[in-house]
Amino acid sequence: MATIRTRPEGTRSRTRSRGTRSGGSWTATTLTGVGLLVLLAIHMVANHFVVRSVGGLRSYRQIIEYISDPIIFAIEAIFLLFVTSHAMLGVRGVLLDLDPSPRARRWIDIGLVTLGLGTLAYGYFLIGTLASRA
Amino acid sequence: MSAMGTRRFRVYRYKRGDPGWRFDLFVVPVRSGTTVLEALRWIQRHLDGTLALRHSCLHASCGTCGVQVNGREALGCVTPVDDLGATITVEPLANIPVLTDLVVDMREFVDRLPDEVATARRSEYVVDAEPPKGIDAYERFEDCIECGLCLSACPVSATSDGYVGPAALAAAQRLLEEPRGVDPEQILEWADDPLGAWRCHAAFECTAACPSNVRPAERIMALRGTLGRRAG
Amino acid sequence: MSDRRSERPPGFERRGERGPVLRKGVGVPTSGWFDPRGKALGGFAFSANRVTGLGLVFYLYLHLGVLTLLLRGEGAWSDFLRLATSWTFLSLDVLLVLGILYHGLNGIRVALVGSGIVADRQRALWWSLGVFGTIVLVVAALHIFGSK
Repeated sequence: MATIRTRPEGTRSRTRSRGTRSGGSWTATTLTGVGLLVLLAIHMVANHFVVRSVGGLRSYRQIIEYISDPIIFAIEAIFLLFVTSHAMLGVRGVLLDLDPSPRARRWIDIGLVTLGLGTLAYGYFLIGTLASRA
Repeated sequence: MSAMGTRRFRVYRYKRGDPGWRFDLFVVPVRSGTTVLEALRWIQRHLDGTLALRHSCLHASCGTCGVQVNGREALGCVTPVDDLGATITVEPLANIPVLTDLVVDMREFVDRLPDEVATARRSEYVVDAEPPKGIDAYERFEDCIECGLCLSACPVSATSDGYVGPAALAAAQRLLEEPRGVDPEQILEWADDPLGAWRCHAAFECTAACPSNVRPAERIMALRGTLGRRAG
Repeated sequence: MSDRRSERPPGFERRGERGPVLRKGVGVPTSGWFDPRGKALGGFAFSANRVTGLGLVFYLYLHLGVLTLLLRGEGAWSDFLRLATSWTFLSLDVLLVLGILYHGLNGIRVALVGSGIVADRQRALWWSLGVFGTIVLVVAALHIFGSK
């Protein structure tokens, strides 16, 4: 016989999870990661390797001029969305590896969504305020 | 005749009723090619008859003698002591409860397996040979010898007892590669789980530890590929 | 003949208990992820991915905090730039680039391998992306330090 049962008929594997799937989290982490490869490269080059100054760092005026460009603003806004999502998904993966209870899992999800939204809100407030100073 | 020498063995000891575990030190005479298992059996016969360990085939086909040697998973019967240093630390497999000394409770390993696992497969070694009358094709045993070394080596299993582990997922993938009457959808349903294929983080420690060419990590990645395409 | 069942070995009554479980690491469960003993290449890659990932999360919030100085005007930002253009900070910038390169390039490997693509070439991927990353890091470091 090419296969055998590992437990009596009628019984199932005990290691069933809490019923939710996490293939979506993996896909989301991968897609945001791929997006970051491009967006982060643009961000790093623009903020460290374009301006002729020590470390390529921009002065206050140069930053205002940079962020007030609508295309740059859009790129940085999407970048913030991708990096925050990827970060929250990554931290979630690390925390879920500690085998939290279903209740703890729910709080982890609520906490990270809240933290992520808060990060986005503050980040958009920041770049919006700076762009308005042009 | 190969030169004789000695090695110090630091062996993990635990018996039910003990307040905790400890390491016992033994000096064992060895020669070139002496295996860890031979040394442990010498300890049993000459120094401490209470040392408990498991072994069977003595040639890496049963998977019974799995232990950690200097922190690395190995089958004791085929691990020579030659390059292991002057002091050799032998511990039971990690991530599986210890029954006594070097013996772990393999029910915890078996419990993680899917409801059905494959035992035999078509042999890829003699594809051109004509099988005898009455036999469809040559078969051989599946590679997995259920030694548990992969589960011990897995960094995810180090923090999660719920994770089914590399052996279980590799067994599932083998059933997808060759269903042998098992419903593939059932296998995919079982694997598509936060404690199943999605808990693996591609550390590949399981493949590094596997003594039997199962390549569990590669199988898990293939399984995830199938699950991803199924979802998409 | 004596009743053999009364001759239990010591500890027999505890045979149903779950015995100790060895974990790699130093006693804290998560330290097992970073215990280098007995680890192969993939294990180091996984540990380093975790460390760089968590480091970059920390950096994200540090970065947002630093950028808050911009809200206080040109003076506050200029003061920060004086600090940020010191050798120490430039070195930290290079460390940041290292972390980003490692996490990003290993992430490419994890994404490809974890999706079942080239899973049997994961070592070759690690080394080839590593060579590429090293070259980029050297160029970046020369540019950052060279600008001082």
